[in-house]
Amino acid sequence: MQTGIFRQDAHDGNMRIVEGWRRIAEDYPDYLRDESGMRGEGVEKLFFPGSTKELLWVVQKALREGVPVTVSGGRTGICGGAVPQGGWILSLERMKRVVGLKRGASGYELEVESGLRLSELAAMLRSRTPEFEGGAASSFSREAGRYFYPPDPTETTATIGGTVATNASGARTFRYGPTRGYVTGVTVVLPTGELLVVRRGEVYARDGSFTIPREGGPPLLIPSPRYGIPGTKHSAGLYSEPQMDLIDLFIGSEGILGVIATVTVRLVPEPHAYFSGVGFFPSETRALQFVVSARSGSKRPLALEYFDSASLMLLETTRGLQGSTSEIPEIPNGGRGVFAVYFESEITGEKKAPDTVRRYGALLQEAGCDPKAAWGALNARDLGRLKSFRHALPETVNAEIASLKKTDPSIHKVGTDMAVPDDRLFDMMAFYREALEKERIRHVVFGHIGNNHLHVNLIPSDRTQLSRAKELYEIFARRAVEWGGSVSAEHGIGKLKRQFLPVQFKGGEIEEMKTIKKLLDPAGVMNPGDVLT
Amino acid sequence: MPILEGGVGIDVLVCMKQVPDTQKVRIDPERGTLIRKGVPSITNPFCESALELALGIREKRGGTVTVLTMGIPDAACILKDALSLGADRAILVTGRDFAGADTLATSYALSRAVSSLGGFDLLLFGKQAIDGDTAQVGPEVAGMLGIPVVTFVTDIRKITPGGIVVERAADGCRELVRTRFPSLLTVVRAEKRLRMPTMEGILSSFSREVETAGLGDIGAESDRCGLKGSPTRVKKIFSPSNGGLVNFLEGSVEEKAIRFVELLKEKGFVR
Repeated sequence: MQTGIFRQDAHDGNMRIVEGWRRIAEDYPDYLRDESGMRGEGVEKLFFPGSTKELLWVVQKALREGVPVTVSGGRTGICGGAVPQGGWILSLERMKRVVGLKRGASGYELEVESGLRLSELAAMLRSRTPEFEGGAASSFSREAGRYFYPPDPTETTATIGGTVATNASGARTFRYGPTRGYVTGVTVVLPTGELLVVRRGEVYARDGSFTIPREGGPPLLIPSPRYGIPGTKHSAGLYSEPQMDLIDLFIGSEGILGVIATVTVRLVPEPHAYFSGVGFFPSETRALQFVVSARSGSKRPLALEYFDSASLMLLETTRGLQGSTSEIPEIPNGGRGVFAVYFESEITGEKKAPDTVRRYGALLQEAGCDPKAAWGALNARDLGRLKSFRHALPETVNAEIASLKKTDPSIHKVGTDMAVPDDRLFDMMAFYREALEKERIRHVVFGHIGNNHLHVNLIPSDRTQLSRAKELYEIFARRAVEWGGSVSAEHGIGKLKRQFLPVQFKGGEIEEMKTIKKLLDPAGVMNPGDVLT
Repeated sequence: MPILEGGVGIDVLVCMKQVPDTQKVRIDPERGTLIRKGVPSITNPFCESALELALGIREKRGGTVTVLTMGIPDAACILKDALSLGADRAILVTGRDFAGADTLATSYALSRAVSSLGGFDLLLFGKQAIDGDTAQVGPEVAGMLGIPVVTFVTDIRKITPGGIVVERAADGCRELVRTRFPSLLTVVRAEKRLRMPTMEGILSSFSREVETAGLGDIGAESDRCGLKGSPTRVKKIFSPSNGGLVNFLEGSVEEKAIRFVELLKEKGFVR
């Protein structure tokens, strides 16, 4: 099908429906939460559609009855996007079929239903007998394990639909970019109860609007966004770019324009092998110098991740308390006075490993890292251990917060998510340090330093510190925007971070987003409370 | 006796094995064999613990760490890995003569390799390989070399000029065992995980080669190696069925006792 709006048959099939707030709250509490710690209230029904037709049926019913619906994917988001505020919950967990596979010019294109988890997709692509039928399936099974889907958010239980709706990123976004670049098609159940098919490269913004063909009727005209967005990693509000592709309006829209039913993604050839390592530096400046030199060459690393001394010390002191920290190797000097950068690179051929390792060895030494202390990983065991090292910190911070919550349940982590342009990396770090030095709030600074996208995680010990931490968040956000950066590089806005949308966008720009939302969702039934108020 | 008493440093030989990653292996339900196709090979985890202990001994007391394996040419990669972790020397015993070896033939070939290399104070083995799970090769090699063996070692507690005190896991307790050099230890998963390779270690491993040794190099008799030297054959591998049925008796103690005696009679255990 080409890009357009279609009327499709809808039916309820044998859909599982759970009714009644008490039953949902008691038996299905997981559907009321995501990783934000927020909890939904007053939900009347929970639907489990197993196909696009059943999904259409629920949305049409919601429209008829004027009930808002909240879409529930893997619920790995941390801004409350999937946390319902009354109405119905629409879980996509039963929608995980493979719709089709075809061979493209540079790899394969795979269409799947949106409830498929990333871990399930990865396992399917590695399998010698993938669950594909027809089309390019037989050629793909001969090449199994040679193609992969690059977006790699830490949470592999995230669904493909959720990651497209949020334009998810991960450590390797530094090299591969976010999800957007790998999505070539979506089908969306619009809040009007119609089915929208969008193929990349078919409908672009022209003269300030998108013209979407509609089967058996006049085309739908939607204004295209005119505002600018930061050139950094960015995940706040609807996407905008001159002459943009219609598909990009839906990618990263956080579900406010419709429910993604199926997604077509590009699979690309898997690198021959990987090399990763961790360099330990005597100062933050040295670590940053390594980052700048590592990313400036023609052979861009896959990932560059930062851990300040406080992060490393926290990992060492909580070693073994969290499942993920028991796997990580011993950190030099317990992390005291040590600053670390994790790097990951591809190895392009069988005999290329020495060249790759030597290149990083030289870069590390130039920046003052002792190669006797730096870690390197070439085999699956060591690559896995360094991955655990990279993943352990957020979990460790959350465990610290959980123990503080025992004294005061209102305490929560305040974690920043700003990115700035390359030439502001040192400035932004200095700004963070200057502000944090004046405070007594415990904090760690870590994250995707390749994209100048650091997470300052503030761990307040009481309510006074919590309120100060929130003020700091806003101070950091304003400065990042002032320097051409983004208030939210990857977490998105959801319900928790709505107050930061106006930090990024002017009133008129937010009105543009609202106009688009209103045209596609006139009844306001789709994911109410997310992104826009 | 080819194994010499150590000098100031302790010279350690670690015997290692390349195994399929059993967490990723499936069993062919009809043949009862492992489906190895497409399964990545790894270093046997118990051998990793042995290597970590060996590297720790060298750090504290000086000396050398040599790693040895018998296997197909691809097994050199686990030795290369050990070189990147700091092993001083790596030897791969390989050749058609060694193919199809059971534990006896493997132990014979390894003991010949150890003798031909000579000069070790300590031989460290993993307690067993995760593919065969026999735990026989370490003790058999010790028997063939005529040296003491301590199994299930968890840690090294003390090193003296002539010997070593090790901690070993026993049923419900730990034992401290003193043994003289040379000795052979089989190692369980030690608490200290295998270290990460350093950038320097990896870089230096690129310029160092894994040495290979064949039948003639280790002075072994071909009739005692490989399939020819293997008196045992694996007839069948199967998963035992869970056939146990537990019958819980209900009622008062007296009622249960009466019913119990009745059941024993029914089964013919008592008259």
